[in-house]
Amino acid sequence: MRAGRGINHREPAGIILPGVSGTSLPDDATLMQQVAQGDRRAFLSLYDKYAARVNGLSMRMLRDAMSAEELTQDAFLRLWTRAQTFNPDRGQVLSWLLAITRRLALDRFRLDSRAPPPSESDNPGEDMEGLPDESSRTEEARWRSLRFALADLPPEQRLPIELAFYYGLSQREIAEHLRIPLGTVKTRVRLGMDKLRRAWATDPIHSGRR
Amino acid sequence: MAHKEQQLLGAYVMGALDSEERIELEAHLGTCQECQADLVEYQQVTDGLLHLAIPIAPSSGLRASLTARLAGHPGSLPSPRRPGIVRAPQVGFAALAVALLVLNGGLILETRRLAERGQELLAQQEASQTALALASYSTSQTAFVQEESIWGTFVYEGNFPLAVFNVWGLPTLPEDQAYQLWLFNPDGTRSTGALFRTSTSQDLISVLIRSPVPLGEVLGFGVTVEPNTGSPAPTGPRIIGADFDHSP
Repeated sequence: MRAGRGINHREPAGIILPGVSGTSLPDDATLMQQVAQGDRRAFLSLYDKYAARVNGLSMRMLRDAMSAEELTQDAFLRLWTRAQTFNPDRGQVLSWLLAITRRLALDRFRLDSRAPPPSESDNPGEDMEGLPDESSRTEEARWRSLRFALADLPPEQRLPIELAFYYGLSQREIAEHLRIPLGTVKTRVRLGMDKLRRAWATDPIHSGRR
Repeated sequence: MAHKEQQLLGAYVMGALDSEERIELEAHLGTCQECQADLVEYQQVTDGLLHLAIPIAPSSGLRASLTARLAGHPGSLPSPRRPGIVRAPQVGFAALAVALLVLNGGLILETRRLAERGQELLAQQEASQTALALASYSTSQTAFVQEESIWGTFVYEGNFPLAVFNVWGLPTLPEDQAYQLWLFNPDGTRSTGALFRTSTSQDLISVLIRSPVPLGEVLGFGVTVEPNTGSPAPTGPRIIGADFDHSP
């Protein structure tokens, strides 16, 4: 058996090279159109741009570096095979990709009979340096505001939301897992999500866009 | 909140409702504009929750591994080609009848061709999905093969009797011939893994391989040219193949 052909790693499409002017970065929707046509350079551009974000969410959900990388790989393979189904009118590429990542992770939990989730909430107030500065006017600064809002929730409201969203548990399963009444879980989820919704709706950047 | 259903929206957008509650809420959403507006805001929250994880760069090997795996996935399928509009010529009735007969015959052939193409695409999709499933296992292995202008990958996991063979550059065969993939058994016999043909419209073909035993027990594989109904044992020349390395 002979080794396969080497794969040429070329520069991603649209990278601005030092000292070279006039090279613009294609927007994500354009890159997705190119990926849908089988353009690997466009695919690798998206990978280089978003791999850390996807891997971060994978790690957040699976809590294991090797499993997270497998999930990241699966998510990008899904992007490669499903690029044609992406509709830019319905949202951003990153949101679409992260939603795929979440669904794949939840599928894994189901296939593996769901690994036991933590019974204590993460502290989402830690390690904020990976997110855009709050004062920045970029769209991603909104995620920082939401993160602060999540961190401000009482732990008893934050935990059931994290178990539902990041582990795919139903309210009934959360009640069983935490050994508290179902009605209590429903109340905590409702109060917590309502606070997040209000925080989101009053976010100055978000409000300015409405 | 005006409706009791509004209290369920936060759990609904996370998929945390039981099916009964979900069905009830969805019926209500179909008629309540106020809840529909609230739903959009809750969906924006869950969209935001996706973005909260701290970015963590994956290892550099992942990019190379992913690039190699792309070879086994044909990517998004192009839109199906639409048959062109055929205009009836301004001729006499007899000529028109003949033209319609010819057109009908052409449509039947086109329909048959599209049906065959649909079967090919379904087979490709099945192979791609299997490859995707195999790729999710860290213990999956890939054998790279190359013979002159033909090259490919054989993706398998030792505990499963399914694998995927991705191959480029196989010549298109006459109608009465097909490629037969043989799996090498430890006792020296050969089992058929797949019988397949290539199409002139495809450089890459992905073939689902079915083995009578887990692939971890198979020593290797080879592809030969055989009659299109298959052969009980290899008779044609070996086109490409590989021995498996099962060491961890």
